[in-house]
Amino acid sequence: MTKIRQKLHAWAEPVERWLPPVRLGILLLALITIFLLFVPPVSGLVDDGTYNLILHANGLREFTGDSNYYKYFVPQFPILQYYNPDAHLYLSLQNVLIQAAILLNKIFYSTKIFDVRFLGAIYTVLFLLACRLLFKGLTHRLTGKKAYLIVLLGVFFLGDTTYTVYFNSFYIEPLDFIMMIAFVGCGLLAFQQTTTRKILKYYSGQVLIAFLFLFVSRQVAFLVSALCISLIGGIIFIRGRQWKLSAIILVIALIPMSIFIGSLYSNSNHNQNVYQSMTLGAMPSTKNPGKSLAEINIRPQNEILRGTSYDAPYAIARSDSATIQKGFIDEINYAKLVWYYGTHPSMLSKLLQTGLENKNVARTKVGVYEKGAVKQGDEDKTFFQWATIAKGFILPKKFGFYFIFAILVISVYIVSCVRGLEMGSKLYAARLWMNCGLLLMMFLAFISPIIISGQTNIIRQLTMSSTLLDLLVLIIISDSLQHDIWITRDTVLLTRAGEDGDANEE
Amino acid sequence: MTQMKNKLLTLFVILVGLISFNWHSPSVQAATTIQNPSKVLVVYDSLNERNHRQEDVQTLSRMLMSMGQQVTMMSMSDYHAEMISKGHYQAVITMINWPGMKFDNPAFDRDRQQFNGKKLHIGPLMTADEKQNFPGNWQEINQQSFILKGQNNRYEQQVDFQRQIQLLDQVTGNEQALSQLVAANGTNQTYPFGIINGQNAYLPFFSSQGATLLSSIQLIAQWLGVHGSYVPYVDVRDFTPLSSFTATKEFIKNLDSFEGNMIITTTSTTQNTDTKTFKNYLKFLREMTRNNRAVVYLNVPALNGVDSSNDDTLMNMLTQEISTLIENKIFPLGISAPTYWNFDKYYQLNALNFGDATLLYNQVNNQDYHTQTSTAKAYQTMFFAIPHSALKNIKWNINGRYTDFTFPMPVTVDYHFPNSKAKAEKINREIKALPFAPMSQYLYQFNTGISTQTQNLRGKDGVISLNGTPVSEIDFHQIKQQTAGIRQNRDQTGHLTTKGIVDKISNVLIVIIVVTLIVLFGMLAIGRKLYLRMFKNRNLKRTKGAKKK
Repeated sequence: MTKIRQKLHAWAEPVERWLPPVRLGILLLALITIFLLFVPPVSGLVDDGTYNLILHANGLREFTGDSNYYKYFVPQFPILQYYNPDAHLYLSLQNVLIQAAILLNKIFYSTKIFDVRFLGAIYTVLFLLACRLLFKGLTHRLTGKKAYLIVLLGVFFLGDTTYTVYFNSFYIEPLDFIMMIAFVGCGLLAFQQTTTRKILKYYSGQVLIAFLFLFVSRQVAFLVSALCISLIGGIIFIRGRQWKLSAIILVIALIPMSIFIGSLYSNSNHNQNVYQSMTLGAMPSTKNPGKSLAEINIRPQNEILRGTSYDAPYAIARSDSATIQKGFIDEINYAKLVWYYGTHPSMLSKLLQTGLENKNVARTKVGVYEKGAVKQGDEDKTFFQWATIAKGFILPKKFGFYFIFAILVISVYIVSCVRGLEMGSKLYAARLWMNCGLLLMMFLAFISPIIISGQTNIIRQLTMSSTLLDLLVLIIISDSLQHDIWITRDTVLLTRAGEDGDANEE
Repeated sequence: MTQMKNKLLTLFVILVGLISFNWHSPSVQAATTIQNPSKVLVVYDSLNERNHRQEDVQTLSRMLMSMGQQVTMMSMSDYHAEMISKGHYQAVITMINWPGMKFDNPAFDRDRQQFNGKKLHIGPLMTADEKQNFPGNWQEINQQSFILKGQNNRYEQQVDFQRQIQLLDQVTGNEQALSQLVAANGTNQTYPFGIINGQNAYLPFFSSQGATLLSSIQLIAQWLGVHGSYVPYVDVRDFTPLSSFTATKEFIKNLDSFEGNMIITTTSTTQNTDTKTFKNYLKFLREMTRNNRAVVYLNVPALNGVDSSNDDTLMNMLTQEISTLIENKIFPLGISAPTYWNFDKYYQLNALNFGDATLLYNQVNNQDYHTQTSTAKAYQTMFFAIPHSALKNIKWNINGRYTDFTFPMPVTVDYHFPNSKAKAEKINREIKALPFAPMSQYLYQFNTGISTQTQNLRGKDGVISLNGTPVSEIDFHQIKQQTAGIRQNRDQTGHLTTKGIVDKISNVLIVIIVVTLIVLFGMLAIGRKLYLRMFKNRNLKRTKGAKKK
């Protein structure tokens, strides 16, 4: 028996030396993601009709030569050679990355055709960097088996191909995904440092990411105000009056910036969103849509539009006709909608329920092959989607569960916060704020797309909320493995060890 | 319960049996269009969208279709040599919309010259060989305005100022002219408006409005040999479940005092048919068609862009709409659509072919073709819809209340369904003021109908019949029950079996979490008590941080 043990130990030693947990995690993620995105048959996402704005703004075009363009993943996009009438390159982080990808494409591949896999490569590199930050943060005081466990869990949740398949596409979800991981990673690392300088290094990373979120998309820009609550944690933790003050100013400044920049985004889908917030949002959840419409001063006859989408090919009247625009869309505003949901909470919960069912269902049809790669064109690789499948089975479909989950998390961290404060440690207070901010984001990222645009593209829009849930679970598991949840005097002393390293600023 | 099911099943089987014994041809395509129609080729120089001439081109195509012609339309630049001979056309029309650009196609000119059939030239820039077909003196008249007087002076209207126009100064030999152009400069010089000489004809200008339209219709019909004497019906287009119900109520009220039959076109839907709005919509339609005082035509769905798939979605949608209407005692006898749908193979096959009666209307914007083609089909009965605004400024010279002017093909005066009570009243006034006698014999005058694969509606000899049986003799309650039964059986098959288990797991998880929370708070309470007890009892040794878990 002992001989086997000895053998295991002998074997484990070089593994620990050459493949520490973080490195192993990154390696596994790299393997999985590269296999998914670059090894043929290649996976990616299909254009659902919304690519054209982004493509044209970046000097690309849809590949209209292929009649399967809207059915299968087509990785080639022609680069516009001549005058591009839509070339108003609006300031967006995604456009910056796309331009970088086009540059690489022109150097290494061709100046006429853009292969979206270059973008996938850029996303993968950023993804691995962000995950490295996160894994370092998660495994701070863990060694041995526990460290490997948390890293493997991280790989299991975050390497899930339903997230990474977005890298080979022009949707903004991958950017949300990667930046959220980096944000949480920076936060965790910031709280583990002992010298002010290092704390500031990671904390400013967090603030920078929050700031960059403003330039990703309209929905996320507004949500940055919620993210600021997470940043309050860092403010508490920072020592030194001048740093605290600047941090406070920055964070407070972020809130009006988020509202201002959010409203700057052109809301080209406004009519569609408004229409579908009713037809695919409020109306399907009631038994008598006509009555509900009358309650909020909208013509009850519009109930005949329940369940229709704005660009459905066949309709009673064209969506841009006066019948629809004046008779329906102009009568809707979000104030009415919020009032309606407020007075009919059961309708809201029904709507959220449907959203939930879509969120956690095993999404095996999302990523698709290029045509011809496999016998049946829209099969896809279902490998490594086990996290999503498992979540689909385990997580309850009742929205109330998430409330209870949030209460649980908050109460546990409040306890550790209070205890920590009693023992003179600010760390746990900071942690509490960060997790509260993440929880708030999770709820808002879930509710707001449903209210704003009904069930349009709901699977895509719920990616952010899903990511946050995964990250929170990872944080909790990591904290419990480190015995950081129910803290004792010893834990506090441990965390404060070396805090006086401030004296020699290094 | 099973007894009831068996009963319904038997009835269903009987109905299927009845239908299968119906010898009516199931092929939707054969019965609706005219067999061996006369073929007309229209070649226009340009659509001249800047001056809105596409309306005129569409109107011309509709007019020809209503006259039972199979129309092929193309621009001069699309014409290739020998298309006329290869296409076996009986008539060729040249339409010049933009004389300033002087578009030209020598191959077309050549083929047309060699063509032996009927030829019509509309507009300026007649070629020399075309002019030779008309004996007489051609005069070029500049800067002149005219009054157009219809045949036998039944109507007249001042026409647009003409910068340059070529007219014969008089009619000679066997030539025919139906309308006259009278110079409005005081000289009262008269010229023929439009001239026919045997196979050849000429129209100096064409318009989709006013007296010009009426005179153009007469000339073209005469030239093609289309004879008929139709008094216009009235059509009110696009009643939908979204139409204002107050306007509808006013409209129906006014229907009582109208003596003629109206054709009402409606766009239905297959979704949300269980809502109160849809039930009201059906109720209104039934009210409108009470005693067959109005006839319903089914309008094709509006398009938000084109559905480029080649599947049966459109056909199934229309089939279901028709079925729902029939169940609810509404019997559409024709199909209504924008003109461009008849220039599209997919829409012809999947929508227009349902009926042998159509009513087409102009739509120049938002044309979402699926499979565009240049040849339209000729349906057995096609009403030419004239927008009521086109008849506005015509001065009718009438003896009595109504004019005796008739059209050579079926015509309707076209109104859009009102969206307010005020508009409904306005339409009512205008209809009652029309110079045409109200026609109330639709079901006797026309033999029209639509059919799906299982249902065949026909209106003729004063009676509407479904699959051969007059609808007054059919029990629709039964049909409704049967189709409801079929739909119900279909719904029950999509049942998930894992749903129950997953629900149970969620409940278990919630219970676990709630219990954990209770335990947590309980322990907090106990711990606090223990902690405080330390300080209450001062006799015990004071230890900071006594052991807590």
